[in-house]
Amino acid sequence: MYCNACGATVPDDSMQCPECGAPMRAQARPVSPPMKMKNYLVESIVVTICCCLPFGIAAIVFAAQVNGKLQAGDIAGAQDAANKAKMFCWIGFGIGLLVNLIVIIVQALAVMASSGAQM
Amino acid sequence: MSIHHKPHEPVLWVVTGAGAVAACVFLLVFPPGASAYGPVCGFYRLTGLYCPGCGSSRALYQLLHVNVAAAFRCNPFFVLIAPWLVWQYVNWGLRLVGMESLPALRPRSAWALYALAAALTVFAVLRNLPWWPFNLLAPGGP
Repeated sequence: MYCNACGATVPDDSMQCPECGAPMRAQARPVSPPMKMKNYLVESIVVTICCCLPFGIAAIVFAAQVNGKLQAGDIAGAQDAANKAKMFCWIGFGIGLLVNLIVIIVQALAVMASSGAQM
Repeated sequence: MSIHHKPHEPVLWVVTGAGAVAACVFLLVFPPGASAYGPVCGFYRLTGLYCPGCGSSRALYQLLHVNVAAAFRCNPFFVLIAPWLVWQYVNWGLRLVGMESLPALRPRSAWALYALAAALTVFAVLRNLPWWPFNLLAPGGP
């Protein structure tokens, strides 16, 4: 680690900086940068527009929860909320895709049936 | 800024962009309403109610023809959020090639996102009301 007073490199278990004599124990540990975590906001919005109504909005709510918990320092809670947001995005996307596939198949079957009846 | 990208992420970026371009081309070739083809809204099919996304295909079609006012009447939320989505996509690309991304424009606060969820819910309810001025929010407008 580094001595906050003079910047010298100091072994981690030092009690005192060999360069300037400042006590090492009293110095604060380096502050980690603010946590960034993927909250799936963009995906949630896309799902809300394209796919299935309640799931997109639910995903946005959990994305909001990620932000809130990150700011409160609850990293585990934020990760849990992020997982839920991701899950709702996938559910909404899956349902939207399924509905469109069903419609395409039904339309194709209808076209085939009508052309078959004319034969 | 350290890069923690999964190896397939550039592919995902290209596929997303290609998908968006394909959607625009599809709309230009098969204008919504003029043909039987096009994505369907499961929610509308099942309930007959407009979800927040209803009209976004038509709105995109209008935007492609640079008809912003008509696009707004199809889906105001889409018109407002589409530039933001493009911005996010561009930033994603910049980060992938290791360049400095533009300001993220993503709120860090929770209340902003709760407000968005609430606004979308209100929008979904209001646009289904048959009275003026709420029916202006429905796709197609008056």
